[in-house]
Amino acid sequence: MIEPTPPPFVLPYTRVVAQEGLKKALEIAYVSPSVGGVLATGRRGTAKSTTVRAFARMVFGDLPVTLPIGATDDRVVGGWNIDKLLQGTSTWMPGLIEEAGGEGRTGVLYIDEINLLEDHLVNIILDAAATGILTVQRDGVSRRNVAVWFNLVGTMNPEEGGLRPQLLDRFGLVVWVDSAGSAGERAEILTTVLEFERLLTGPPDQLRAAYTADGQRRGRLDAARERVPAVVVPEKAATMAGAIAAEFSLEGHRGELAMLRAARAIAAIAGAAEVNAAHLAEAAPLTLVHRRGTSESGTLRRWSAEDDAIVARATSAAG
Amino acid sequence: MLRADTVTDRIAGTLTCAAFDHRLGGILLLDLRPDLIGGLASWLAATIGGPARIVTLGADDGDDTLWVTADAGLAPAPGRLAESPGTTLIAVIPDLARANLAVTRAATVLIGADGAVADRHGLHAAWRPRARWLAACPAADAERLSPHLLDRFAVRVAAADLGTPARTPAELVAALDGHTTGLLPALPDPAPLTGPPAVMTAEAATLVTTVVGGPAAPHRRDLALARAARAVAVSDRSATVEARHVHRAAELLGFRGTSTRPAAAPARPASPAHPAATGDDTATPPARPGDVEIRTPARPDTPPVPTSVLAPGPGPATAPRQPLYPEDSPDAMPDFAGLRVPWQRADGRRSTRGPIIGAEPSGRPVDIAYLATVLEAAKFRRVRHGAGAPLRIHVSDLRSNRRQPQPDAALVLLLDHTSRRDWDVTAALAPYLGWAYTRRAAVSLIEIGHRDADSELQAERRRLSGVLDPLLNAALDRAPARATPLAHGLDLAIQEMRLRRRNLPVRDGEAWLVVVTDARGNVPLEASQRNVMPRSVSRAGIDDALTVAAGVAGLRAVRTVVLAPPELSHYRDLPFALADAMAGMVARPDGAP
Repeated sequence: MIEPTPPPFVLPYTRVVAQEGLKKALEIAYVSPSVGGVLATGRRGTAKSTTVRAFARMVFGDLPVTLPIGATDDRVVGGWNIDKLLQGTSTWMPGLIEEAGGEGRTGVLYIDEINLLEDHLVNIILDAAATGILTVQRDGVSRRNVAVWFNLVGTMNPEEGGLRPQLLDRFGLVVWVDSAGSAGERAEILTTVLEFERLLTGPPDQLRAAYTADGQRRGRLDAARERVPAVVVPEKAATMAGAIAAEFSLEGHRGELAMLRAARAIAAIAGAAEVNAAHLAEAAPLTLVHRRGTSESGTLRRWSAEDDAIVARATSAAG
Repeated sequence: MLRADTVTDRIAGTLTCAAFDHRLGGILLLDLRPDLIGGLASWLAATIGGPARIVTLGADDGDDTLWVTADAGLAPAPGRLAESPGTTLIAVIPDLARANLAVTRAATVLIGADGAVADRHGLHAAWRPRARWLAACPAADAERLSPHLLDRFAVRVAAADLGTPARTPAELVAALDGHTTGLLPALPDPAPLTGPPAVMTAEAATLVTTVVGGPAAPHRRDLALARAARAVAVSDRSATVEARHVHRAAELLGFRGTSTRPAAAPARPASPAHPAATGDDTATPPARPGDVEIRTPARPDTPPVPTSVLAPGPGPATAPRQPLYPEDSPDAMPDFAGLRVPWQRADGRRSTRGPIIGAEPSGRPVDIAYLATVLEAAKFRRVRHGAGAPLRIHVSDLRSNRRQPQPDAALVLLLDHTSRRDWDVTAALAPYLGWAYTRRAAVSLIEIGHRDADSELQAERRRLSGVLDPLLNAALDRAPARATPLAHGLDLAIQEMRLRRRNLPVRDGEAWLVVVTDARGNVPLEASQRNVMPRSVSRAGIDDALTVAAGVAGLRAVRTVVLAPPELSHYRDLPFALADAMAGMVARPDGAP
């Protein structure tokens, strides 16, 4: 078996330039895992994977458990250890879902290029993510009600086709990732990346120092995560969330629940004692962009200023 | 400092940069002679130094060879793309446009990634990708590739001119006996770059973004240019990356209109024998020493991309210049969802032809997926038969290949634009296009006699993704020209139909050749084949067309129809003669005289 040389030195999260939307979504999902998974969609070369891996390294100290293209279902849900089986011993080998979400695990399963994954594998994963239960019936093995708890993080390039609306709805947060706009920002990305690559070949203490800010950021997020249960969600906020959901004609309650959970995480990160309209307005694009009027093709409609106006109108009417 | 004057310089330079920095490991050589890529891979391996493993990937490689394989004890083992510390992997793709879907998907997720994992058949392998990917592709095919895939190959070189400009008679004679070394391009001796990476100044970083282009340019392109500039600076023994290094890197990577070159920089004149070798057709000499001037950015003036014409016979004397980044053109039409596993066809028939895209349980020993079957049986060998028992495969172990579905119907449409001057052919075509749509037929388009043609005397062939392909609409809007190389068009149509019948599981009676013409060919076949304007034509164009058309009658189980225009003012019998020669029929609009 080939293993990478630990630890994985990827660009420190705090040095990732721009990507504010994706960063916010990842932080919300970390502070309040019940909000559901994160899907980042954007064109090629917009540093989606880099940001996700940098975030995982910051908060978990390692790269996330990653589901690769070409994975077979025995590695996703688990299967016999074939090395042992060839020697006559039957040993169960947990799959990637358990590796990510089993007891004592990091709780993140990362799927790069999720729209290139075969549909039946996506279905298995989303079922487990939504129910928190993994059931395996294969190769003469019956494992029922294995508790798994993980947040799904997916990245995709919409040029290769979208995800079905049913799958989109399973993600708590969806974020558009755009290329850096200005020449100055692009130049800053270059100097940051190249400077980090130079550090990789330099003295180890300089490299370690590059992660100092990451440690501080993680500390703030951990503190926010502890604060979340104490953040009050006033009845007025729930009414506003309901009004926003009604304005967007959302079906079911998954959208407004995700919005409230995300707003509470935003409040916890900001150090606020209770959720207010501003937190809801910040949470709305991430939690509703994929739940309002998406076409059957799975093509997402971008969040617009008009959508922001609808949120503002609903919150002021309800408030 | 690395040179960038000739195509050989640029290829040697980019490979040297890639040897220095594995992050520059996605290199696409456009129009490279296919026999050269192996030698370039060896040269790259020698430049990197140390143990190297060169793997060639193509149409046959599926997930079961790339990610996981079986060792001598039948246990799963890492596949061809898994990397081991201390050994450099060089993945070679001789034709990216024809590589298996599994190969292109693997390239997309591995090139430039921080980490890689393989999880198949009970095996988990993880490694840090440091492989260099060397791919070649005809420039005309590149625009059909997924932009997502092309993005991974941020380093591009137009390699059509790579070859030996002067062949001596002695070398040619030696080549007859298999000694081809003298015909290979003379690359310099490998000279690896050494030294710490240079520091990029803010000025150089800004220059990189300016050279690469506007805000829509992918970041990987910025990074590729910046890293190449850093390697160039190392080759120049400079501690910092300066503007001249960025310019030289831009020349290596073929960014157009990058800059004038500082006069102080040593430079050889471009070889007059290879005007396309510089990859920079807008560069001009510096106005005065030290001038560093940014000219037109690369992206906004990217020239229109020629459509993917499979030109028959010898090409024009001067091949049209192809852009290095065809996916940037608004006219580029890549295959839709080209990296996704295709959806299953509705008729449910299993095919044993077509690229392998996976394995699935099967109760029948047909089209067996050997690795998956053997691994499945190996799992239970000891349990079923005891220690030391030979491997026995049960029916329940059988796995068969899952194959990419292929069309089982074909439409070859020959459009003679000169016959459509005042005739909207859409209504006449509708039944055939409707049939092709419902049958999901493979569609080929042969065009003759239009003003957009590269050569007026020759027919053009395009393979469409289906009848909804925008190229078909574009073809129906073309303006007619004067020449009608009908014989050449029919010759091409026959070739195309044969290829479709041979390469696809086309059912009998499910192949249509539809010829839209008034049968008034005016270009003899030989004139088309030589691409030389004939001195006199007389009836040669018509007679050649009728002679060639007789070949259609020999195509087995192909249905043929000539769609003739409603107004036939001259030579009214010609469409019927043509249809007779093809053993087909003529269809004309209702009420036509």
